[in-house]
Amino acid sequence: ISLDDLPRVTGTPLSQFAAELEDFKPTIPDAVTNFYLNRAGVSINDPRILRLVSLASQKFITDVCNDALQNCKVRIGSSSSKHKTKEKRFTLTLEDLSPALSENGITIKKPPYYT
Amino acid sequence: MSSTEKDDYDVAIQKALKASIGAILQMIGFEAANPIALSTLTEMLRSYLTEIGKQAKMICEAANRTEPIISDISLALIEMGNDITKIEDFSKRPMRLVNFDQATSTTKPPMKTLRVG
Repeated sequence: ISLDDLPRVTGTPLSQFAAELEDFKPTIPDAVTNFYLNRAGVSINDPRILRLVSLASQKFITDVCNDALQNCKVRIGSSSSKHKTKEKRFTLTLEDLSPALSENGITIKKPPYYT
Repeated sequence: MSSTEKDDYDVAIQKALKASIGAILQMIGFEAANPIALSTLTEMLRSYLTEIGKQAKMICEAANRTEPIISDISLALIEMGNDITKIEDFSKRPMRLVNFDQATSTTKPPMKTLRVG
């Protein structure tokens, strides 16, 4: 086994990446990230750390939602022959979301009394 | 801080969290969302953030620190099954939607921690 076969552990050094985070604007605001990290019992003063956490969470949600969008597209594509007039709007539903989540090991179930 | 003031802050944070989910969905290409699906995602984001916090706390306390540093966070993320290089690539995507202007949003001063050692 050669070194090139092993997974890449570091790309650019972490310190350089951290410096890039300084002027990065994540979609999840710093205040929100800080609030929930505080709840877990950590206090963070460095905005770069908050940005890194925001970025990681954003990636998690984006990955899940991308899977859900693919499911949605497949579903619309297969049913379009029957409902030609139905407009093609991508709506996030639990139907698309639950298979995307179960790939990540999360099982969600609708309460049985919901229709 | 009075209790109502604290509740107001909680509600504002929750709204901001939901708005962030909305922005992420919009970025991906969704045009609408089912309320149940939206709140499921919001709840997941909330627990994900808290989980990172818990992991980071554990790791930094094992190293005799009270405040996590960047490498503690990246270790916590790796522990949760992330690939740091992928996160880095993710940050360099061309299309990004900024939910709130960070310059105008003020971060609350964090509570004082008990310094040990």
